[in-house]
Amino acid sequence: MSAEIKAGPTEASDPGGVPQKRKAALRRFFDAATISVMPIYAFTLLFVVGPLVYMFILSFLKRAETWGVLREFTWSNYTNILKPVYLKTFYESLKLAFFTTFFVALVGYPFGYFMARLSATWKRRMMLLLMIPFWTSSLIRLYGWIIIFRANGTLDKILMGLGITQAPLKLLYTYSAVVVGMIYALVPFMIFAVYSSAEKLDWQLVEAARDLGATPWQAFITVSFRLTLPGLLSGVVLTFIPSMGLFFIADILGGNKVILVGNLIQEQLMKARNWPFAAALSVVLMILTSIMIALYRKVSGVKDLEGLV
Amino acid sequence: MSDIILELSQIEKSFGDVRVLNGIDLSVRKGEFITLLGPSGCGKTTTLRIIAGLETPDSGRVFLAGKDVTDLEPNKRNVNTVFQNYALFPHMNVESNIAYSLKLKKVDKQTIAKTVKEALELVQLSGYEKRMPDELSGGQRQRVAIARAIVNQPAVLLLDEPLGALDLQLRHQMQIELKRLQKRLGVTFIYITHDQEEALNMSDRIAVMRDGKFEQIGTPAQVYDNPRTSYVARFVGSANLISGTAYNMGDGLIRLETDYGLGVARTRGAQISDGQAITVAVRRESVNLVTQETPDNLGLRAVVKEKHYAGGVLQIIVSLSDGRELVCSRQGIDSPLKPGDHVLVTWLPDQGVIVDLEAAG
Amino acid sequence: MKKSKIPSLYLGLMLALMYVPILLVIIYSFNESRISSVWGGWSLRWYRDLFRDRDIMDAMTNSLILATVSSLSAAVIGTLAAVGMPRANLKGKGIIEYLSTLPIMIPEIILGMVFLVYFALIRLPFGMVTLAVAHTSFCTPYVYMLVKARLVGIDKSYAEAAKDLGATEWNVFWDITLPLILPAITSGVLLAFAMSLDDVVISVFVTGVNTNTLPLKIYTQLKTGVTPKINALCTLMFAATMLIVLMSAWFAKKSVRKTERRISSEEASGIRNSVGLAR
Repeated sequence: MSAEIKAGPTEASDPGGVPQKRKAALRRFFDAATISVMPIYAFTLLFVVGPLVYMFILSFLKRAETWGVLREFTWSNYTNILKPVYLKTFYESLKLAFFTTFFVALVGYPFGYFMARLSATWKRRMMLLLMIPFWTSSLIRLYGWIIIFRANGTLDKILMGLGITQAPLKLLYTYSAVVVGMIYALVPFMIFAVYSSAEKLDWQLVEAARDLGATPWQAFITVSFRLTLPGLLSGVVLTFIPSMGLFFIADILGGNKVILVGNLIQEQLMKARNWPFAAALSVVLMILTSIMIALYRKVSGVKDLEGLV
Repeated sequence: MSDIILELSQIEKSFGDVRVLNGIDLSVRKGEFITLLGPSGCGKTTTLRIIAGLETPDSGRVFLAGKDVTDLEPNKRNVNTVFQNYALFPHMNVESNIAYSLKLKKVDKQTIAKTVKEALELVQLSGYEKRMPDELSGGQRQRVAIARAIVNQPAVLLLDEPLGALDLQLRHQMQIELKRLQKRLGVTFIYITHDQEEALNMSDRIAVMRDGKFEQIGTPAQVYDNPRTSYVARFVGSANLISGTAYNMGDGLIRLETDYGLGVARTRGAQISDGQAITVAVRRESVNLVTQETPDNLGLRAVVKEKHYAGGVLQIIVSLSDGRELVCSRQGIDSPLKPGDHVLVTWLPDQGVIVDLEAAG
Repeated sequence: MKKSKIPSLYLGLMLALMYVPILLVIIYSFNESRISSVWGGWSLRWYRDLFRDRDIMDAMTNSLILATVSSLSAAVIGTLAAVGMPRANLKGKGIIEYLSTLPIMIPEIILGMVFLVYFALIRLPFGMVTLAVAHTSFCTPYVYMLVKARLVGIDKSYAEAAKDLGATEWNVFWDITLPLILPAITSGVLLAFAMSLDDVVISVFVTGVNTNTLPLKIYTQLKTGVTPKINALCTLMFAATMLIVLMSAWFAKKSVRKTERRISSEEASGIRNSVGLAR
């Protein structure tokens, strides 16, 4: 019985003089609605579609000798990526992304899951406690890790103070430091994704499984885990995608030792000034990202990523 | 004719492929309490929304006090609605909610204050002016919604299952109160419900709806005692329906021959030819169960199946030879009958109402 | 089933780990010593130095202007779009809606890179203008989605009731819709403000030679070498973010406060009594 009031130009068949006035009023209102969406149409076309289309075109153009681009078609930017140096960067990026995602899932899944089992009051408190570091500038958080990792930093002091190590560990500017930084930056996405999925879980199902003879572990695997899998998958996508592009974490915590696709794009753009190549790299990265999302949708059958907003 | 406040003429409405209203006609008199009664999905809410102007009919016209209002926006109609979930504006307090329509009309402040005060007194919520809707209970919200809808002095007040969200006891009390309020205001009420008891208790007239059409429009007594169709008989009176062949016996009586025995009914002026297949509706409380043979061999042979109490009423379910069941209800006294007993089902000629005559003809 | 202590322990430990780096930055911002790995006692000298640093103060001004401009632009664009979209009579609404959220879906680095090359193409002068456009692009989806979600949550019958009581479409918008979505708009704007205030990746690409924002300033310092002033700056930024997020959460909560029917047994009997008195 709750059909919408379909506001459309359907009253064309109306005869007589009364509808005339009404039509005019309707048109005025439609104009208001149409005008109100103009800004987003203009902005999106001009500053989202425009740039993305240009990036695509740019990736097929030749680089000029000194500055800018030539209007000549070439595949070379893409064939360039196939050079071992760059392939290796992609490989390293993917490897780091896999590592990061794996650890993020390992750490974040239990967090989101446990959080969903808290009382309503504690859930709200926990949410706030998570929101604060999540929204804090990643630079500030990274800086905190520099303080911890650097030679004679907090970690060294603790370990040496306990007598576990004798000399500073020189952890800063290592691969491990980058991985830790990545996990730290991305774990909230996983937590939110798992939480939003586990929150919807009907705990009576778990109790029913227990009642039917399942051990806690069996009940978890057969019921809870199965039903929170979409959240976990969503979290995997939400961590994997950004982890390919977070160049500044590798930059700050890894020194120049860890080069990711993100770093490569930044370098080509800002230093080598090879914009077409940077565009081609971005296109490939976009495609990889889209494949991930498409795969996720296929596997989970869900249209939107859970816990995105 | 001047006392007709609202008239619907041949209203049709479809949503996509679904036909919701199928040519509806209705005339409502000034000051009348009319109930649209029917199960969910029968089109009663759509009818109400068309009267309110929230929905435009595909064809047909709506007349309000003789004026064609079919194409008028809801804000241009002198009709107000009490919504099913009350729809109190959550960001305005009781006072602002009630004053809303007056403010839109740019009524001066003193008049608004006075009208709001009176309206609150009328619904017995004086002193609640500053409360927010979420600080009110269901029943209080319902009263505010009514107050908000009547300050405008509408020609017709539409009420969409206003008691649906309340619990049983409160509902009974609100029924009485609503009826009293309507008498006092003299406003025409068009009331929607799927509860036949509510409809019978409150209405001057009931319009029974089914699949986008009115099955019968009449006073509660007419609808209850003289159902025109088997649908009305079953929906309003939970009546037993018995089919068979009719034979005129003279004096406006007919004899009903069935596979299980004989029954009677009055023709009430209808022309029934001998051998015509008819259906007779007999209300549960009109059914007698007897164990001895009756004069004239009247009665349908049946076996008692079960007995139980439902709300202080004893219900005896008997089954006919082909397995069909009839229900007989008795006020509060136990019956010596027990499951397995063979009985004859009888009723007085006046209690048998021939239904579905139009459909058959 | 008895309650295990492991979940609470785990949650506590992880939260502690999340806060430790931030707390260290805050603690060291009060460190008297110039060499940051040595504790020299409590002091406010770095805050004093910070406010005397012209460069940082300029960057702060830039950051605040930028966050204000882009979050307010996002508020206007996003709110108008969320309200207008369902009723606008235009082609390609779904596609535009999808495309408009891309800035928060695709990796930041790609967004930064496409803006850089595109702004160069259309010759937008790099600096505050390019920064404002880029920030608006990732702020708008937040406002849009929050307001849209709120609009969906608003019972359609409020608008119908208002019309029934004599309201025009304009009255409905000003009296009903706007007040009900205002908390959502505020919450979105605050989040957008925080996002803009903290953005590094996109800003790195689209800033001009002489335009600095606070995160950019911190980023260069982290790469080249930190002065203790940065600790103080980070602490202030953290405090600002925290304040904004808490405010936003408060408005968001206000926004979802719905009119659910909660009729407790006490209230119910209260009504019965009042009805009873009337008889």
